[in-house]
Amino acid sequence: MADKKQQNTWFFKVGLVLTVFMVTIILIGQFWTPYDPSAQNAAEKALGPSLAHIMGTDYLGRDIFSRVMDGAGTTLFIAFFVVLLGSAAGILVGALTGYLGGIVDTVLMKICDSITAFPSILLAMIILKVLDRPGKWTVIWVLAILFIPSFARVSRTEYVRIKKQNYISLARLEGASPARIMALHILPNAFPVLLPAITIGFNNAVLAEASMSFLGVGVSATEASLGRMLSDAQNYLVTGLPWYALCVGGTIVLLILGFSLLAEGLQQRRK
Amino acid sequence: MQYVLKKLAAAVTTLLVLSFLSFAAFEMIGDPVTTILGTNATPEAVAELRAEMGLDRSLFVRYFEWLGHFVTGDLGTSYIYRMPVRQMLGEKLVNTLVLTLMGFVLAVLVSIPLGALSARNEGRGLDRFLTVFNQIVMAIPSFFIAILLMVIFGLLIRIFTPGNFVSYKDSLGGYLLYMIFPAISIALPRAAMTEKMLRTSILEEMQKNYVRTSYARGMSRAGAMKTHALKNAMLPVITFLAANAAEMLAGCIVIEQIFSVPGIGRLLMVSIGQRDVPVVEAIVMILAVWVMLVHFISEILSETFDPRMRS
Amino acid sequence: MNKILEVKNVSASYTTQGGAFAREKVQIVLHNVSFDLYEGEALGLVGESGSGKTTIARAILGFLPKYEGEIIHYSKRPQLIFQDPYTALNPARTVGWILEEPLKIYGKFDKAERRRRIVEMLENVGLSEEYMTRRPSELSGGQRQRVSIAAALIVRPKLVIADEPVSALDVTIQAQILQLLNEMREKYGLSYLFISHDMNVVYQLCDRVIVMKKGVIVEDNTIDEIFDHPQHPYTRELVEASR
Repeated sequence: MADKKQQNTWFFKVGLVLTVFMVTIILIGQFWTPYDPSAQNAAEKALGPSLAHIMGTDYLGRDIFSRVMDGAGTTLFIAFFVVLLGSAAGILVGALTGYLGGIVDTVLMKICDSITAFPSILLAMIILKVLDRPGKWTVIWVLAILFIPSFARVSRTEYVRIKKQNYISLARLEGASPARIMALHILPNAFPVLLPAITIGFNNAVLAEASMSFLGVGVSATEASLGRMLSDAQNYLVTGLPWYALCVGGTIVLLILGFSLLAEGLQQRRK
Repeated sequence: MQYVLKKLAAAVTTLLVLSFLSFAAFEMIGDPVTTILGTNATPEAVAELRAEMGLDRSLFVRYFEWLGHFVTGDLGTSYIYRMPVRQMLGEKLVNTLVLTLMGFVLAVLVSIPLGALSARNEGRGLDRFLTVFNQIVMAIPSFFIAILLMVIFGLLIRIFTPGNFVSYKDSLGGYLLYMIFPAISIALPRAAMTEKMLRTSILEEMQKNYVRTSYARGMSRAGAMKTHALKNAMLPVITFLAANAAEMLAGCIVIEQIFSVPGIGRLLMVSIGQRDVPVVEAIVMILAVWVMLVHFISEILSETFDPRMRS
Repeated sequence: MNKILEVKNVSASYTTQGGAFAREKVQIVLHNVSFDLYEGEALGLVGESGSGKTTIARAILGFLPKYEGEIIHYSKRPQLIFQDPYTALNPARTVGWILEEPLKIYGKFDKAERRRRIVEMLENVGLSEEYMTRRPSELSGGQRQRVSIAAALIVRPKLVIADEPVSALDVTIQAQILQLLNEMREKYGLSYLFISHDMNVVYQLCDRVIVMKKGVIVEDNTIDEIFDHPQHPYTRELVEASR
């Protein structure tokens, strides 16, 4: 058992380092990139990775690393707001249904069950295609709403468990309002379980954004995001620019890997 | 038996509610008359076409008519191509289902033995390697696996030609060879998740008292795992596999496009774009039936594995 | 003497869910329970588990959704001390937060006054100011129970209900906590409703004892009478067992 623990703090550490590293580079990319991401250079078309261009250049001579730094920013921006809005609403729904119970609980959970039965990426793709309004905020709203049930479920389980604790009975006896109990007394205790769920949310949001932009139903054509860049890069696989797709895809993998290791580590730490 | 009927009734009810909601929603998004005639048509022409297509009747009447046709296998007529939806789906539906099933079978074949192997060697080198490897595979989106497979097997080794889809009508061998790569793309991340799930589930089961007493009575650890833990550990895995089967169908929609497999995913996206409502409704219903079906099967399987669920 | 609590003909029952073959069963947990509690009095409520003693406490505190009869409070805010100090304190919060929360809800004191009261109450229960920043997980069982008592008393209640407050503690710590409860009673003029299964513990704290069995009060008398002349055979049994 001892080495299992070790492995899990190892997961946590690697996940933390990787996530911090990726997020830092992406944040830097919002203010500074080695080259202008959209600057074309006919003399340096389709170059392989080198010291000057660590991920090479694309068919228009644009620096791929600069474009990845920029495009990953959009992906992370979307993931951040999807998780923020989805988890806030989901935790609230879970708190209300879990703490108050009754008919609202039954109905809302039934709805959540029906939604979660369907793959959320499929639903998101159908809805986005129907809306036909590409753009990051459309993606954010659609994904955030579709992410609500999974957060609600985790949060509800915790609220049901914690509300039976003696210290919550005492808080009620002190005259604390239900809202106060949900926010100040229960929430901090639910946090160790909510945190890995939120981290996994980032993992899923990056994946969903990338899938949808890859298919062309995500961000608009003028916005660069990792998914859109990968679908762009895919067109040049056959013409001999494989590192473009590999670098963009590798960035997506590292981003997701960081979040998933972090979530795994957090989950195991709790036990 | 009563349990099965009850579950079946619940699934059918959900499908009915869902079909009505999606019918109503898709009726709202696209007026087929504008789709067909364009925005410059004369009011007379519009009214005539509406009457011809039966759109002047109420939503409920049209819904029940559509439902009646759907259950008898008549999926309606495309607004755009003016041909039966059933004919448009034909081969595409077969391709998507074959792809989903291949992916599912692959995921099961890879994950179950590896999960059991990993659990049996808990804490040893093999287990640690598999755990770390797993964690990495889970982080690779299936569309990126697809790209990697295309680069390696399509461009470097040249086992197949990406984009050059072979229909099963032309060559079954060529078809299966072509389809194995998209199937692997869909299966790998799911296999990794299932492997992890099974490993955790077995190890949890091994901690339980009845398993401990059984190997305290002289049964080997591996024996206890085989006779007791594995069977009970399968319960959560079955539910997870059902979710997998549903997710894989969604995954197909992305993967089909990368490998240029003519499947219902691309048809769905194109039809939504064209506001070809009958095609969209038919595909969405087929997807919904698939999702309800796999969840229904998983519930029945869970019940046969564990009679305690019967309540 | 003034009454602080009146319990009049309280009955409660719950129905067990009927299955396919079993009919619904009505389980009576309290039957016509009546007693008064006076200011400054420490009343012991004794009985085995399932005797209804915890149910009556829940009814008094308003946690029981349905019962017949009447419960009249002559004081505001009765407080509760739980048996298990490990579950009675919010594990995610510091002792300072736990003690400040009731004062915040009460709402009449500013920050400085709240802090003054917290420090004073911590001193009362034998803990120093430093404990304010500690979390429950960093405390021993006895210290936790002291914090629980402080949290109950910080809003200056007149009536405190204690549900087996010492049964989860070591014997030496038990004595300390009982002594603390006695001190607090004198200092604040508290009334106790003290629920216990242990006659020895009741003897150290209570003036009067009610003995319950299967939801019915079988005996209600002063502590000396209960020990010297137990009337009901069940009371006799309990007293014998405690010797």
